[in-house]
Amino acid sequence: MTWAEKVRFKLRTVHTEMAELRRYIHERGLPEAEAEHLFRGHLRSLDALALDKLPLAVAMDTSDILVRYQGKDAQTGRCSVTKMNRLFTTLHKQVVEMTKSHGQLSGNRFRWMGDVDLLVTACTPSLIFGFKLPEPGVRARDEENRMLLDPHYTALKDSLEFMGVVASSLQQENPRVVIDEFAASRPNVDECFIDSGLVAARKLLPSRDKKLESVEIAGRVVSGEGMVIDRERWARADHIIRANHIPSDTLEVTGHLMVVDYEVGRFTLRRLEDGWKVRGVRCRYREEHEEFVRAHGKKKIWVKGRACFDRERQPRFLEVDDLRAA
Amino acid sequence: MHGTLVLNEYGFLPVPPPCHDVRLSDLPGVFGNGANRPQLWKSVRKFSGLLLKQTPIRAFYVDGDYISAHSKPEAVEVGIELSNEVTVAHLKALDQPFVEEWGLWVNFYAPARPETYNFHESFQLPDPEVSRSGIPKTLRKGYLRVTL
Repeated sequence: MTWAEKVRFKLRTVHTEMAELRRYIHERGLPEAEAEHLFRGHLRSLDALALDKLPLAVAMDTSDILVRYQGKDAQTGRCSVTKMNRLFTTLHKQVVEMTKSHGQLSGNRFRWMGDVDLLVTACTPSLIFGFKLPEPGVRARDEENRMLLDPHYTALKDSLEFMGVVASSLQQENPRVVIDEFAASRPNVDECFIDSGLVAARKLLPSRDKKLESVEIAGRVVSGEGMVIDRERWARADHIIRANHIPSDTLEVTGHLMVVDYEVGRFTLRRLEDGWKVRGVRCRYREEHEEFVRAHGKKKIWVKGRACFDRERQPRFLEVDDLRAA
Repeated sequence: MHGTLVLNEYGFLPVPPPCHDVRLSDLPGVFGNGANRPQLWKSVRKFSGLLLKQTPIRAFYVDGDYISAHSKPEAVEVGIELSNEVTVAHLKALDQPFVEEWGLWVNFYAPARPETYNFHESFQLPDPEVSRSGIPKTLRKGYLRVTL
């Protein structure tokens, strides 16, 4: 039975039980006007089932990922367009960033286009957002092959799944243990992808919005029960992204400083020189570099630091030690 | 918590049996954690007092988030199966602001049960909740029949 079928069953039950109750009241000679209170509970159930539970059930049946915010705003079910837009944009941006950092897409001149985009399954004023994966773009006879042949689809699916893994890991004292265990079985989950996943989990709960207490991540591609990121888990994610695995190999690379995230100290170095095949390198910079980063957006820079590489010895994630204009 | 009322790994009363019979005096009172649970339990006691004093009803059903691991149940969902002993005067005595002031969602049921779509079946189906996305689709849950 799907969630929607369960709710429909409950709706039918309310109707049939109300019919029996009406018959009972009639037999006892109580005028219906005086028996209104006996139906109040049923009418409340009908409202809750039809207005709240059925839309949620449909979203749960059809969503690969469900994100629910909790807090004052979510409780009242009143949300301004500005806030809704901000949450939606953050969510979208983080999914895009994660997908772009997926190992399978590192060499592609990949642009986010409508045909790789997620499809919306739910978006409510009580701050529940649902999304499902699009159909794989590559046509093949069996579905599994289609997914394997479509790197965008795979990257997107892995990103959603990994978001759940990160949320799950944050429930533990030491999230890296859970993340590393998962990464060991997935060749595409490297330090770059892990970093973007942790940043995404941290960013889903806006740090300055005190009316939002937590965010819960669930859905078909998220294994286990809904994972809650509250302020304590948020702090855990924040701590890790500032101190996660520091690579040991050194790298000097020249490229253009793009996609800066000042909040977490990240940028992407694009249009790399010296024949690197990857499209960009995700970089983590320190506070002392911020002034330079602010002044050199979209400009060509030289960066030196410690990096981790993929199996083809292409750089993926770099801890900045030094940088200057090139 | 009462021996037979230990919640399962999904945070529900286990099945079978779907209906767990328990006396009010044997109830553990507050199920699980949550700031509003003690207040809700107080309402259940008040409700029991009302039934004892003003009606011949000596049992009621409890369903919903209150008897699950839900961290913030909004209310206690109560079901009353009416009988032929219940008079019009008793029914009128049950006109109380249960939702507004007591924190109880009270549903009244006639003595006759519809065949398929009845509350016993309905109570066994978990409500959709984002946190429940991962539970098995076939999972059924238990509910309480509390005798006074």
